[in-house]
Amino acid sequence: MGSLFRSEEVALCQLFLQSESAYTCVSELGELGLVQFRDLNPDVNAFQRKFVNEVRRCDEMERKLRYLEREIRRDAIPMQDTGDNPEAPMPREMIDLEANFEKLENELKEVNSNAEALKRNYLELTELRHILKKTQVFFDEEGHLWPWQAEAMYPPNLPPDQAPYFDDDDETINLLTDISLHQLKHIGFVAGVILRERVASFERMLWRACRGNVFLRQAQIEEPLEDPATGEQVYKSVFIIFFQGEQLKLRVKKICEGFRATMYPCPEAPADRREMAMGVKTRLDDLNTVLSQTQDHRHRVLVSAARNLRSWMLKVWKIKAIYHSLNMFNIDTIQNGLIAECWIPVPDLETVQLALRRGTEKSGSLPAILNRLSCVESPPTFHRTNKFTRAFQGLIDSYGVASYREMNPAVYTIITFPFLFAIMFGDLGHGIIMTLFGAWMVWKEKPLSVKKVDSEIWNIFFGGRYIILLMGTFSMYTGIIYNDVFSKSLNLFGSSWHVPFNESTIRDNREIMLDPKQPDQYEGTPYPIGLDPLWQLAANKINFLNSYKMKISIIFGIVHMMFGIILSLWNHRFFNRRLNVLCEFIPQVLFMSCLFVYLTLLVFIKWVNYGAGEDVPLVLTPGCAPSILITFINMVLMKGYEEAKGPNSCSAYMYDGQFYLQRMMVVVAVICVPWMLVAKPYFLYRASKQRAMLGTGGVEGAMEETPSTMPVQPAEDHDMSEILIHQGIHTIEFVLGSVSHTASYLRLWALSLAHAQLSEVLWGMVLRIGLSTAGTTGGFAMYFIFAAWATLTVVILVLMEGLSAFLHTLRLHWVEFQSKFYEGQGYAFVPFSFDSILEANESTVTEAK
Amino acid sequence: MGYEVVAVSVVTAFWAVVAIVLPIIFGRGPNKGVIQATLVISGFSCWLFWFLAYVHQMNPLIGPEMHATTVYAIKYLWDGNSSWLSPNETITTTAVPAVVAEVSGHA
Repeated sequence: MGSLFRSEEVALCQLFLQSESAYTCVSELGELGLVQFRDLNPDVNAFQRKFVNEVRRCDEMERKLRYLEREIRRDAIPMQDTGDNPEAPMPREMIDLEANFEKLENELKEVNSNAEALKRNYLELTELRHILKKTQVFFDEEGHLWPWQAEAMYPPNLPPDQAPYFDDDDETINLLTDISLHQLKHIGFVAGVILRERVASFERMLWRACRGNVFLRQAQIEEPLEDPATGEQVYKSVFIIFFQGEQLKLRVKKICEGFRATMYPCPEAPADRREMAMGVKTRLDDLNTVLSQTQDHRHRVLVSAARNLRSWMLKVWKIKAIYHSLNMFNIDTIQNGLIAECWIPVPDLETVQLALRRGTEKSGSLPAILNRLSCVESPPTFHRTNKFTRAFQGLIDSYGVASYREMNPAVYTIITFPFLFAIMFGDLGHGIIMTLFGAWMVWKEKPLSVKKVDSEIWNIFFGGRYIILLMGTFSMYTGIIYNDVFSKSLNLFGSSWHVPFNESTIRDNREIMLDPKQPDQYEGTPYPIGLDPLWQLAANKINFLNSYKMKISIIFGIVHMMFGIILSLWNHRFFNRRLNVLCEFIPQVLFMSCLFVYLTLLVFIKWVNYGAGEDVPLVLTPGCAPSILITFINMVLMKGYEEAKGPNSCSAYMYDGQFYLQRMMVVVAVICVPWMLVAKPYFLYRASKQRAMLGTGGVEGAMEETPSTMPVQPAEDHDMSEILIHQGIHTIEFVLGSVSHTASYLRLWALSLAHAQLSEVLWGMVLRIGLSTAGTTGGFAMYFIFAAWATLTVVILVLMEGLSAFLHTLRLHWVEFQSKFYEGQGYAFVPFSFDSILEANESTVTEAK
Repeated sequence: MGYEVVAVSVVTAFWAVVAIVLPIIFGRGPNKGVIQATLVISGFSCWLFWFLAYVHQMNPLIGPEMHATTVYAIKYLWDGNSSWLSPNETITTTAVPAVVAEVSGHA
């Protein structure tokens, strides 16, 4: 138990709970987080379940708390997150909580509505004050222009610039002087306040609607005013409109209303205005004190709420989660209890029992009863992961959750994933950068995980910190073996190649090829760790590297796939599928060995036998070395070659009897195909026929025994055509797949080549400019060129290339490796756990912000 | 068939320790299985990776082809004190900086 190799044994259990203790028991189980409840009333509508009322009350409380939270946020009061995790309160405490929230909400609402009324009042008064102040200026101005009018204390008529609408200035004055006081009294005015951006259109509208017969003056209020509804700061203007006659007055008022202008009464006499201004001032002062007291009160209420808000929220979420679970239970009307069905991991049965006992003790009722049931359906898959293995399990689960108790590829992926990645990403320098990043995230794990960052990219990196660390470490190793640091080599042990030529020879040749045959040029033993640094400088480096990298890609691919096939044996043995071992595993291994394992053998034979030493016979010299690819193709085509004529001519064969051995292996491989295709359906067919003869039972058990601890699978419908089609697809997939999958591993070579070339180009095109510029300018240029090179290295070579290599590695695992043994048909074990529920709720809250 | 017993045995022994000895040492605790599998697989993969690079170079079929300036630089920088140089060869130390400059301009 406890290991990651297979998912854990999960038992279906039945739980009898007394109705008094059900709540406390479920609460304890939620804290534990090891039980997955099954919905026993899937057909019942969410509104018809037993605890709908409670759930609704919780929703209501949550709404109130959210309202409080919004208010707290609006006042920018810091909310305390003590990180403590309060237990779910007892049902009777729910009423207290509800009352408390109700009180708080009402209080706050009242305070808010009061404050809003006060603010509106305040705004009106401020606007009035501005009107009085500004209009005073208008009146003074006009009075100054027409002193006779100021004396008469009548509102002014038209200023000179409006005169064109009358005939001319003189006439206006004449007219005015001629009209009687009675008529002048009919010149009325309206004063008010309007949003500044509406002034222009307001003016135009007035002009058109009143045909230019009104006169508008406006002045801007410099300081912004607060809109009581939205709390925003708005800029407004004071206006005053003069007009003559009742009809115009109505029209003007209507336009004012249409433009949402607020109109205020403005006395005509200056003395009244002054008096009014005084009154407004005192009222404003009073309002100010009242407003600040209201604000203080509101602040006090919110501060005290902010202290407890988080723990209240957690409590409400927990209560809600408990009632949701209780809604999934059946009601036992006779014994006044609840019946639940749940999945529990077998090793945790004891812990669950203890939790149930705690729950019943709390409520002081009869103990809860836990019964293990046998079940037909397959239980959920539960892998107990830790912070290290979780990310790797995530990689596997995103392909498909393992079938119940099947071999879990995640264990092997921990190393094979970073390793295959590193084959494509082999560079010591880039590996160090990646390792440092991964190590930093692992080192600062606690502070970084507490800091909740919304950036999705960061969360992905942080979630995969152990993968990144391992990928970086293995990249460092493969970088050492490739002898590649930012496209340069390290000569740590001394190259095996030497230059014995004298200067004149070197001078006379443009290019010189070292000869492995000469002992003064090649030491005879290779560079001890990794590739010889000399190859990095060679013009034919690509030829050498391609031959090497292709071969290792194929070899690692075949090892990886064979490993997958061997894992399938463990699956067959665990599930006691002897038929699968005989009819699938053995032919698969034979098929792979006869073709692809033999291919790697050929590679090794070529490596070991053929050479360029002085005592090497001609047949084994480099010129006679056959191409492995051609040999392999001809082997499958069963094509023979002419035997070598004598000891002095090359042979296409690498050893004696090669042709007959190869022909035999191809025949074996071909036989494996019908074996995989037909054998299993035939045995199943025979077994079902025998069973039919013997009656039920018997042979089924002999062929596919199921151990007693295993859940009994529902009897498969042995429909022959279905089995045949299934087996056919499986066989074709394997046979064709073995070729295409082997070729697919060549991506290891391709990506690693691309990575090395890119890094070489970057060095040659960017950093070398800086390195080869001489003098002080070169030093300064180097400063910037290095920055460019470093940025490009990190962005393109580490990030982009890393991402691409990561995706290719993922594919190699999901398709090439897992197709050999992994079904991935299971469903995940999702326990009822407060921790995960709270986490999910909190993340939705932060998203909503 | 040229191989160096020291190199082969040291590297092989190192990875054998990782793949065989360490799993025995860490053979307890709740994560025993995972740790052992991790160590064995990493030891084997790393050894195989080194081994393939080694075997590939054991019997070279081709030699590195280099530009004359590169050959020059190697001759004086890497093989400078080597006994592989024939004794009648005179090493002109003054030539070295010139060669290095040329190599860096060429490579």
